Amino acid sequence: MLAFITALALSPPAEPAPAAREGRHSVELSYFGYQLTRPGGLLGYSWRAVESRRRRHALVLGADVGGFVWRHNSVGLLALPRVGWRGRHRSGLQGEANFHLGYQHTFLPSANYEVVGGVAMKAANSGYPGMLFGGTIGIGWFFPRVGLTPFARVGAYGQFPVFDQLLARLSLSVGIEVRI
Amino acid sequence: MMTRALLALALFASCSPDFQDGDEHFYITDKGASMPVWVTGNWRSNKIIVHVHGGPGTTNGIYYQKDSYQRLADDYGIAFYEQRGSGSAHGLRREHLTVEQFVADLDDLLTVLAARYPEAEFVLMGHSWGGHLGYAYLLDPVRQARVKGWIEQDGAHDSSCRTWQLGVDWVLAHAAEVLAGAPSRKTRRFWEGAQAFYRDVWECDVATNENNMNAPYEGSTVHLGHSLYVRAAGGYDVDPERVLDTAETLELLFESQFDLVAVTKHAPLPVEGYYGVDLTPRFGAITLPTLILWGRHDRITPVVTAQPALDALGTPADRKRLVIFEDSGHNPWAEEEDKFYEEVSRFLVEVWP
Repeated sequence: MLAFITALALSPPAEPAPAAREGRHSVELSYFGYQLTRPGGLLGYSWRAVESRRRRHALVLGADVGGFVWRHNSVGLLALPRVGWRGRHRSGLQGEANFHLGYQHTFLPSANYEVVGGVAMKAANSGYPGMLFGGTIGIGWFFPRVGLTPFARVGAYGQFPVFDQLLARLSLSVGIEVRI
Repeated sequence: MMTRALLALALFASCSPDFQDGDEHFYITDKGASMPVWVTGNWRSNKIIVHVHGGPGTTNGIYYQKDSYQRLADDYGIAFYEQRGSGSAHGLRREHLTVEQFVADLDDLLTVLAARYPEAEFVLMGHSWGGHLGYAYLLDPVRQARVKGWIEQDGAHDSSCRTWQLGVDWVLAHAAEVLAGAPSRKTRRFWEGAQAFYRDVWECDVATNENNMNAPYEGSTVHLGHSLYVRAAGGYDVDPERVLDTAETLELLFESQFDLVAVTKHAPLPVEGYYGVDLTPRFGAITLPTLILWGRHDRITPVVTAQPALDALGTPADRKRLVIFEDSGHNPWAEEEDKFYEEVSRFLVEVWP
């Protein structure tokens, strides 16, 4: 699979780039709703490693970094590499599907205490490590002249461990992709 | 424009309806678990109810939305803490899921509360499994001296197989009654499944208290299997909608600090030293003012265990009482909110004149 992706990635575009801003690299900035409503943000980078002849379809490699705040529950930092497909109608309507596998570090959102020798003391907040994996699907609209694609994605992840088990988490992200 | 919209959405989403101005929030971390503590209500009165939720492994999220608790919070502080492996707590090591560790956690909580609120006095209030944990905590006289009173709600202080068998018998009688009628194929299969569960899976010896309630069963534990059949037979609540309705569930899922998804995955936690243990014979060591509240129709922690608890307490007769809620099952705080508030308030005025 890796060899296949690498081979495709090294192949040049099937046709010269048009005048439109349609570069193979892009950055993305989005609102990230962890469990849909817990607010956060993501900064992403994408590389269209493989594109079809008319650039309607692409295999996209990328990653997102960001975080969220679940008030009085947790503060999470994320690093989420992804691989996905993007397809575009000639009108500009775009669809996508991605698989994510990454890391989440969860910090406590308020003061932390421990009791040592019967005395309450402030304790460090080193947080809890975890793994996230799952999928997102999304839609967007590509504006070729400016190279912008507003998009919305919904996703479902497995988070491990929560306590010591796997839990399902949902996500909603709304943002914009800028071709560079 | 879009940025503004995103900011507005983020601001809206970050407001949790459970958390009021003046509330405080912190964690206690020990042995790989971080347990959140939410101190709400009138804690500046220096009279704080320390709330011990049920489960093991559920959450305080199911209580705070009710008028009964909100009215208590107008008068007193309430310290809701999520036990290890429960609700919105973080971290877990299975080897620490013992009654002794939960007792130690509760003691740590009182230590931290005493440090943060040095003028405050505390009353312990436990529901269901929290009733067992509360008593286990109070059996030690040093720990008992840290609180001014004790309120038990439908507690599992008697977790012997003899008591669990009452629920089993009740479910099986219900199953027999349903199957004697003309149930649909789906209903028949369900209640025949219950009969098979108690025949082939359930083990709780009323003579020895040997049991398998912590054993894995269909992705959870045998205890959960029993709980689900008791619930299906109507043994938890007279009217489940009074306990947690759709709007409250949505608030819990999408707006509150609580992690309902985690609760549904983890409860009941397999706590060692809980199942098969009846604490009642040791209650003579407890001399605190005590209020025991019980729903008449509770089949998971049967009402017949309430009077023996009251009788066994070392508390003088005029400082302990039992109140039965005739229109409630396991959750009188939700099914008869006014009466719950009035009884708890009356007791607390006696404790804190």
